[in-house]
Amino acid sequence: MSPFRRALLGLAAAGVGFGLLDATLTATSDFILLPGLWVAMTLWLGWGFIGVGLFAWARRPDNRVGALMAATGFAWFLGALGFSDTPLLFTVGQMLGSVFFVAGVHLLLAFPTGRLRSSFDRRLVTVGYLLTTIGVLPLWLFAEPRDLGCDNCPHNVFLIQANSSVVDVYGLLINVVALVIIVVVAVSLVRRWRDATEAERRFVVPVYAAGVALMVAVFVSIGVQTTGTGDTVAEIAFIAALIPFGLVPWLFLATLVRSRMIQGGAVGQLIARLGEAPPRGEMREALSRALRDPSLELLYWIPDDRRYVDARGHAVDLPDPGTGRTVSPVEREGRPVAAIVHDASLLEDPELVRTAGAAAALALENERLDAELRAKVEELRESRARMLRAGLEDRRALERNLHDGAQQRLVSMALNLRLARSKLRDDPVAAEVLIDGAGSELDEALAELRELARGIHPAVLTERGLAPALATLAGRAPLPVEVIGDPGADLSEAQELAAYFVVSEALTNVAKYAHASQAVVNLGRENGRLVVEVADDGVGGADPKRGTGLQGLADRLAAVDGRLEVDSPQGRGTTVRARIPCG
Amino acid sequence: MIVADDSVLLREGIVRLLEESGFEVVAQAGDADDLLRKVNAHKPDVAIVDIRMPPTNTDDGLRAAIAIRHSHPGTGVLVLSQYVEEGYALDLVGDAAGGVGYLLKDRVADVERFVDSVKRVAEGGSALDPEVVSQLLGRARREDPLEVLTPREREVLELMAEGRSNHAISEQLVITERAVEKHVTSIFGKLDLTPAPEDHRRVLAVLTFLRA
Repeated sequence: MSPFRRALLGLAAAGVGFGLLDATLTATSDFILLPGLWVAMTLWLGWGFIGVGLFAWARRPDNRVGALMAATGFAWFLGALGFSDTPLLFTVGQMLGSVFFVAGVHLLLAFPTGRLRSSFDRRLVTVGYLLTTIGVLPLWLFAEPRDLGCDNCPHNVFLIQANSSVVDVYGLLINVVALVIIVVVAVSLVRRWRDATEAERRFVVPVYAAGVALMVAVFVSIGVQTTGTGDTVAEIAFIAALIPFGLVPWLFLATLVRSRMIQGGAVGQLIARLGEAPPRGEMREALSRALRDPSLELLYWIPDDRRYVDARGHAVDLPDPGTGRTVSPVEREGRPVAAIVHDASLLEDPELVRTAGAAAALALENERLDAELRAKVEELRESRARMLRAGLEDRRALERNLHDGAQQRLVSMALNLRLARSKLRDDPVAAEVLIDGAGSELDEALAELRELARGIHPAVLTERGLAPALATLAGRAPLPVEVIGDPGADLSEAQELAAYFVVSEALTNVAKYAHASQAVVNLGRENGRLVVEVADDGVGGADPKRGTGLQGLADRLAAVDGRLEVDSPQGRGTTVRARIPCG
Repeated sequence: MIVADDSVLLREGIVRLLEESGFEVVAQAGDADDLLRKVNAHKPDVAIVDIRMPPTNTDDGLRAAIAIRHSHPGTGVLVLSQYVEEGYALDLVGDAAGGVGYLLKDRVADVERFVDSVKRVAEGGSALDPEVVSQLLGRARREDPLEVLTPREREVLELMAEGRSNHAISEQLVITERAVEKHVTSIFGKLDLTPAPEDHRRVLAVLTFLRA
């Protein structure tokens, strides 16, 4: 048995003992009218809180609700010492008789996590504890119960001097403060009740309801006491107030059991449904019903991209902690399959989410494959659109280059030749100059056309293959480029062209942005893939998401099932790597 | 002289140009196989060959040219190309730079120089396009061995790599042949090359050096 379990058992034993002591003291008390009723009340409340509290604590050591509940029970037993005929026990018990109530308020405000949510709550509870301990001390320096109408009460051991007017005034003051606190707590509980999400409501509503009833009852009880309507009415009001309070642990227990049963049943149904091979796309509905969280969403893991997508294949960001949404990953055979995004309150029962996730893992794997396919289709759609745009852009640029370059030169040449012809007889020298001009225009036009043609398709690639084409590229680069390795001979033209453009674009980028002193083109095979790597020793910091060049390359590669990786740490060079499946 | 080009227009143009310059064109060919057959039959001094020709329209012309160089050492080969690919030039030259030329197609427009190139090839010399040479020379290197050369020596080296004779270089640069000789000796000394008396041998020496 763990030390924690042993400590809990010790506390349980202490609770039983304390209860029995209180019951004995109450039963033999000289100054209460209905000892039987009080014994029942004492044990019901004390053992109820301590029992359910320790049970919850044992089940959920990380949730403080159980501990708070047990503490409330012990505080109640402490107050019940006030029924004793022994002056010391009587005085201590009576004086601390309201601590249990503050503990109860603490529990209600901290429900269901066991932690107070705001600094206001913390201050409220602190004021309550101070008021019911140190706050009431002055009262017990001046109060003598026998003088205040309790003839059979033991005497007050803290008494300095009996002074009923001090007691009246101070008592009134304390009651007013207590009433204010009660109103604030009641309002706060009602507000929480209203704001609870559907998933939360199952847990909190019954408990909050009991809490609000308690507040109303105690309010009435103190009100009656303060207005001095009479002892009997006050006592009845007090007992009445304790009834809903005593219900709190049992309501909590009932909620736990009910939700476990309901959800256990729902998970059972979920498993049964899965057995009938549910139609695809209905997992969200099924899980949402099983976990009773209408806001539940499913995300699917795409291993290639190491990210989650939704059912339509769109990339999604996971919710941040603190937004009230929580992510529970679902794994199958150690690999992530999906993630359930759900209301954070479901983590009150993390086991349930896990069980449901595990039950659904296989079906989720199927949906994951669907989502992966959709993500691929989406990616294809986007890349197709981008390639179309890039194609149009290329054609536009080509038209522009032809129009601004070769075409202009040819027009000017035609003009020069006509002029020359007209001058041929009268002014042969001028004609010669014009013809020379036309000749050099022609040379320029030819050079431009050659460059354009090379950009459209490098002839050497078709004629000689990838390695010589890359050697030419390297030779034309404005910085030293070493080509190492062998691409192999079994590549299709499309694959060679993709590899060629990777190197071409990468070397263009190196020349434009990298401020590198040299670059290395490395060709090789890895797991049946052609790996083309261009590494430079430049400034790094290239962002593949910015600029159309790298994106265009990725698209080109995607067309041959290839992938592009860009590794560009700031200040440590850039490596562009393409992997193209071949063979 | 045989001219092989699948474009009839260009082929006829070159033939006319050559005939006007006093060459005799014995045959024309429209594809690589045709060319090889006709070279076999006529054994011309020079075959002028377009790189891209049928049947595959890739580098058939180049392969035919290399084949001719092996089978008919007496026939000079001048290859014309739409693009400059130094790799093509180096393959074509192989390990002997005699009787071989590689020029951009555009160069036919400069009749005088083109005819000069044809003559050089016919006489067992070499004619490399200035673009090829500048590509070889301009290639970025980690340590540029050409840095030791003066700008003038570099110019001489370029012309030398094209296959020009000392006389032609001296005319081009408007200096005396004696000065050219001095530059050439200096270049060979600086680059640690064995001096070669014939123009085409020094082309090979320079190419080998640049390729390394």
